[in-house]
Order: sequence, then structure tokens, then C-alpha cells
Amino acid sequence: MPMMIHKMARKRAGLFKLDTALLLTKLMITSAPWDGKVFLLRNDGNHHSPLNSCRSSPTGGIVICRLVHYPESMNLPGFPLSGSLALLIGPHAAQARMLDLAARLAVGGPLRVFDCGNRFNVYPVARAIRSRTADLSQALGRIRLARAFTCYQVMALLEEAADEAVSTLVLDLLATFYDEDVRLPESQRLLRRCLVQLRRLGQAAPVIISARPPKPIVYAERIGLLEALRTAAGAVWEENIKLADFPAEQGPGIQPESPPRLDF
Amino acid sequence: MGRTLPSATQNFLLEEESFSRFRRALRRSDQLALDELFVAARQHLAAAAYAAHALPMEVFLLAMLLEEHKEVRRLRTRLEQAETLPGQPPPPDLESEEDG
Repeated sequence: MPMMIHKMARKRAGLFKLDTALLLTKLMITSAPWDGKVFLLRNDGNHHSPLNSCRSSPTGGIVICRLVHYPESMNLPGFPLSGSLALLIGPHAAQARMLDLAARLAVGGPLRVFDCGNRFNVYPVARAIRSRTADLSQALGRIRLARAFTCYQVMALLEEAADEAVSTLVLDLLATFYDEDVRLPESQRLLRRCLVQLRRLGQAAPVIISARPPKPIVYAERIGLLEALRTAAGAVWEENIKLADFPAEQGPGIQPESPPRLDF
Repeated sequence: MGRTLPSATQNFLLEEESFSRFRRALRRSDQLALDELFVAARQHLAAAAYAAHALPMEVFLLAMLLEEHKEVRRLRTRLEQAETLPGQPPPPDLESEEDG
């Protein structure tokens, strides 16, 4: 897996210019909840044994990638890179894991959080940060939070978001799209526009989205929204389920019981 | 729009609940003492809400400490008063006072 990630990063480094590669490295290191070994990969495809520090080469591009290790059931083999959307699905939109992820990312660098379902609670994030660093206020200061309370606000939020090399968390993206007061075609239209914006934001830095299945009362009607989001994501993890839909490692995911598939 | 942040009271109840296992493992007399600490911290929930601290438990602990210090000061004052009055019988034991 480290080799695969390195190759993907190399592709994004273009002509392996040192500044591009180092910028990508910086994005990967500061944006991700890194924990584990460090691998050094030269652009000739060989990778060295694990290092404890990053080094750069005077010739060619160097990409440095660290393995990420999540505890419990989310033992991700690698962190999503820029250019892809990562999706976490869980009963409460994977709230606890997303808040912990926010804490991890905030310790390392700036973070942008779009709360689309009133899921962001700063107190668990603060506790998680405090368990990692003594500089609580500085880490909290790196988090930029924006909330949306309707699907229209979600769309506006994403459309107005600037292309920045800052990791982005989108909490419970579909919460307002499941609203019965919003007609399904309208929800689908808005979600299409949101996905376009999310892909745009994902070009500059990793974007991690969380979502939950719709409630039973609207499940049959709205499950297509989650499926559309799942299709658009480059990597999908389902809480309490083995890794699913990530390259080189497949796992079973929870599938709804034969819901009607809506054209999207 | 809905509440976006738990209230100080909600935070307090959550923190108290998080110590429920610890409390359950204590002796009965220790449980009562722990309950008194939380009761003492409840008196300062308004101040805790106003403080808007990122770690509310630290504020609750400070509130407990504040009440404990107030009790220490009160007892110290009583002791000093008793010591400065020669010939007077010593003040009754505090525990027997509470039992009585």
C-alpha cells in the first residue's frame, strides 16, 4: 500500500519537480492524521526502509509518505490524497470518528469543517486535541467551521468555498437532503451541484465526507442520494464494517435491502 | 435552527455520567463524598457557562476546589476563634456535630 500511495502522489507531482513534490509532501503530512512509519520514495520507483525523519534529494522529485493507522474498525491502509473524495458512512454519520479526525488534523495544520447536520461538537474535539498536545487554543484556532441548516445552504457553502490547500471535513452531508419538505428532484439537483464543488475542493487537498443512511420513513425514496454520493467518492468506509471500495483491498459493506435505484 | 453547542448543564451531566463507573467502584462513604463534590460544582454552573472554556471539566474541577477552599477557610476561622478564647471549652468535634 505505501508503494501504491507513493505512485499516486508521484503522478500528481507532474514532472517530479522538487518544489511540487515537496508541496505535495507537505499537504500529505500536515493534512493527514499521520501515525506510523515514514517511507522515502525516489522517483525511480524504489523505496527505502522506514525513516524517522524526512529528507529531500537535490535531484529529481522525492515523495515522502507515512502510513496512517486508525484503531478499531477503521484501520485505513492509506489516507486519501488530493483529487479524491473519501466517504465515511455510519449510523450517526460517523460523528465520533469524524470529530476525532478533526482533532488529529487540527493538531497538524489548518482544517476546514463544513457541518451540514449539526454534528460538530467542539468539546470532544477539544478533549481529543488536549490528549495529543498541550497547545489547545492554537490547535482549536486552526479549525474553521461553517454550518449549513438547509440543503440550499450546503450548496452555497460549497460553491463559495475557496480552493485552498487545506483539508476539508464535511459532516453529515446528506442530512438536509433527506428533508421531506424538499422534493426529491430538487435534492438530487442540489446534490449534483454539491458533488461538483466537492470534486473541485478535492483537487487542492483531501476532502473527507461523512454521511448516514436515510431514516426508515424516507429510506426508499432517498437512498439514491447516498448511493450517488457513494459512487462519486473515491474511497468509502462504513463504520463497524471492514474496509470497502478502496483500491487493493475490498471488504463487504452494508447494503440496503433492495431499495429502488433512482436515476441520478 | 437548533442548538449547536451543549449547555453548561448538559456538559456537567455528561461529565458526571462519565464518572459513573468510577463512582460505582467506590465505597459508599466515598460515593457520598464524591456526590458532595459534584453538588458543590453545580453551584457554579452559571459561571462555567459564562467562562465558555474549551474543556468544561477543568472549570467544574476548579469549582469543586473553590468550594473545598471555602470550607477550609471557614474551618480555619473557627479554629482560630477557638484558640484565641482562653478558658473556653474546645469546640465540639465536627463529625459528632454533623451526626447530631
